[in-house]
Amino acid sequence: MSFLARRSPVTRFVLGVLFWLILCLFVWSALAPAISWPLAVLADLLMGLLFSDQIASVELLGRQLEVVTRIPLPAELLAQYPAGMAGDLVVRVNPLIYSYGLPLFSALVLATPGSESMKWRQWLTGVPLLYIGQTWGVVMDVLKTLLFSLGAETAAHLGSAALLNEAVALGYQLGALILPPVLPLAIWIVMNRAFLMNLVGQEQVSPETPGPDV
Amino acid sequence: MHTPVFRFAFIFTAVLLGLFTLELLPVGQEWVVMPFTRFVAALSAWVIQRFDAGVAVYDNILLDPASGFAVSIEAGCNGVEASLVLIAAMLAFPAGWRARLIGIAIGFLAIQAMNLLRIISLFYLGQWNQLAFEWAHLYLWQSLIILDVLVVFLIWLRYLPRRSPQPPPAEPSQP
Repeated sequence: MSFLARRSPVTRFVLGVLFWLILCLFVWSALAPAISWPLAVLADLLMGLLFSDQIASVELLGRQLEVVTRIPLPAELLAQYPAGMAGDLVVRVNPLIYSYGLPLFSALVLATPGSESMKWRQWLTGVPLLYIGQTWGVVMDVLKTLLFSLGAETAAHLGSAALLNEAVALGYQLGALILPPVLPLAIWIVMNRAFLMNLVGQEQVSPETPGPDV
Repeated sequence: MHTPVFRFAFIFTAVLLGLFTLELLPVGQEWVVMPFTRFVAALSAWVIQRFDAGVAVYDNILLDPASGFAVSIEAGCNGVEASLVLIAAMLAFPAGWRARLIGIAIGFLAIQAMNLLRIISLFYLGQWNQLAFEWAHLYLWQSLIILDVLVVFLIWLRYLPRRSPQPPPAEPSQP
């Protein structure tokens, strides 16, 4: 018997995910600029739509997103430059801290038994959903920087209402700590309920029995 | 229809958002997150000192005085969010309260054990190579911790009592 054949189904599956995760992380890291391009486009669209007075564009610069604002440099920053100079703020965001769920989701899909077409279908369905979550993270990151990191003068350009501050603080934490790891897992679970139930030996469930169909 | 799926998704999302908001509130930070983070830092230092006596801990900072390298264990690095995800999943899944409480207790310990491994590995990785540290810290370990949550959840599901199919309703007796 081979090493894998002697393992439990859960162990075999987890080892498969780990194998694919390492490969997918390297591919994702190597292709980071290309992978971040849709995120730049989505963030540019959304921020242009919601904050057209404050945000000029979101551009991809290598592995970073550059958010060009219409907000002038605050006086304390401007003081560091020669007199007479002026300019708008540019906020840089590392998009990869919001997109590591992509290799995780890819590894989960690849490690799940099934036909190639099923895997492609799942991947092509899940990836756009992941980009939506990533866009949330990037937008909140930019708003958090403008509201909390650059002083009251900059924050005032966004209105800086107490409710907005609270919403951005919560939205940023959600986009940074919860969505990147949970979204890929949740999408994969919804797509593979039958496999999951089979994997954990809960497959003998009648359709009427509420519950295990996660 | 997929009612059980929606039920699970709804309860999972509601519980996760509720717990996460509580965690972020000043009272949650002051009474739970910060003390727990300091405890995680102290425990990490205690474990490291078993094989590397030179390591020191100040508040939530692990420090190697010899190299001057230090890591600060912040909210988000303490395994709390991963634990909240597991708690939300176990509360959303139909199971008895005993099974849920046992699952949450053991799962919490499993996640914290993995997080301890993460902190210790990052502490030494950072002293070796900053780029490797950043990569492991921001991407690799994040994925591994959430995989840990999935594994704990799967094992918990495996130990839940099997649900046998409902017997078909009795045929009405013929007069």
